[in-house]
Amino acid sequence: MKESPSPLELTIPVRARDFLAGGDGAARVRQVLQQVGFPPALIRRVAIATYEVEMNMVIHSTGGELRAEITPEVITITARDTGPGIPDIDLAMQEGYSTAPREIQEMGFGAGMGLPNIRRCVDELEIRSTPGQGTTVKIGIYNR
Amino acid sequence: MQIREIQAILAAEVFTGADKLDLEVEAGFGSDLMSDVLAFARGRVALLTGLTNTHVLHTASMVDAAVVVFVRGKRPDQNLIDAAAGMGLPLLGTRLLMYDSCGRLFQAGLKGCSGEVLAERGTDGEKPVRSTKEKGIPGDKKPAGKNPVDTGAISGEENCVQAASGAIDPESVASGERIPLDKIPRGWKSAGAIGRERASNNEAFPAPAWKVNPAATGEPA
Repeated sequence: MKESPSPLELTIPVRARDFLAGGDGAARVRQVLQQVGFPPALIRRVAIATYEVEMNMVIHSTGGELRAEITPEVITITARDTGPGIPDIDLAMQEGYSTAPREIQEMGFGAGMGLPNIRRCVDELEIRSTPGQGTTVKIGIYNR
Repeated sequence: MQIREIQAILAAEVFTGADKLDLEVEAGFGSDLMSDVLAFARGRVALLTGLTNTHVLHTASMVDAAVVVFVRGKRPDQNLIDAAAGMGLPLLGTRLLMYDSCGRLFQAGLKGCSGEVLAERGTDGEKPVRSTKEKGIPGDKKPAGKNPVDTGAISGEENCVQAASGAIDPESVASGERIPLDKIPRGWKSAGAIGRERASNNEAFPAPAWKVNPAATGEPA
């Protein structure tokens, strides 16, 4: 019987308010998935969700870490940050709800589409948040 | 539509990717909100935007855009051009505004993504953005996208005032010129012409149905 390969792991630090590097993590994950040869539609979903997660960390948190675990069956992205947390996750999941300041909106973000966008692209989504301490977002996308 | 055609239609400058102008583009998408691009872009799009920061490149690569067109004369800086060149993403720039750019491309046959979005068709496995579906595009008989949607019960004859065929010369519209007076068909009169006609016939103008400034005429409001 063939042994299933051990998962490919990537850990990428995300700095708060670093808008120049924001998105590099998602770009790296996308690049790895392309090299491994996942189908383009799946890569697109992972890339969009990872990018939104990463930008949320850049915009709202005080820094954190993006972890990608890649197996042929499932891609798991775990974003863990320290920061203000999300007081009302249901409200944050609503399309159009945003707490992003004006300068963020001028950069093309903060339209309140981040979390709805993530939910749209993933198969599994878990958000754990403690106000004042931080947020952990775990997403899973199956390769079927 | 090829990137080359987009460049010609928008009289666009090529910042990078001159060797990729033969690539095909499936649809167009215009937005300054990058999250909306991520949410609504479908297929291999030409992304039209007025933003010139690095997030445009990230967003374009996440949705696999074929080309980015900067509108309103916005110019990316050299770092951005170099980064795009490294990614193999062509960058164009036009002096036209967003609406005009999109309008010209649409008229030339490059459809938008509304068809896919309204029909809730994502790229494989993507779920629709909204859970409730509104049927059709109100007031629009010309659905966008590769897969046109049912526009519902709206019929052009019932709900739209339609111009006579040939009322507007397509060539002058495509080039964005003002429509010359002799191209306006007979039977269409300008407000000025109606006024002059009434004056020469000594016809009284109908009294306005509202008072512009009741205080000035001394009448009660």
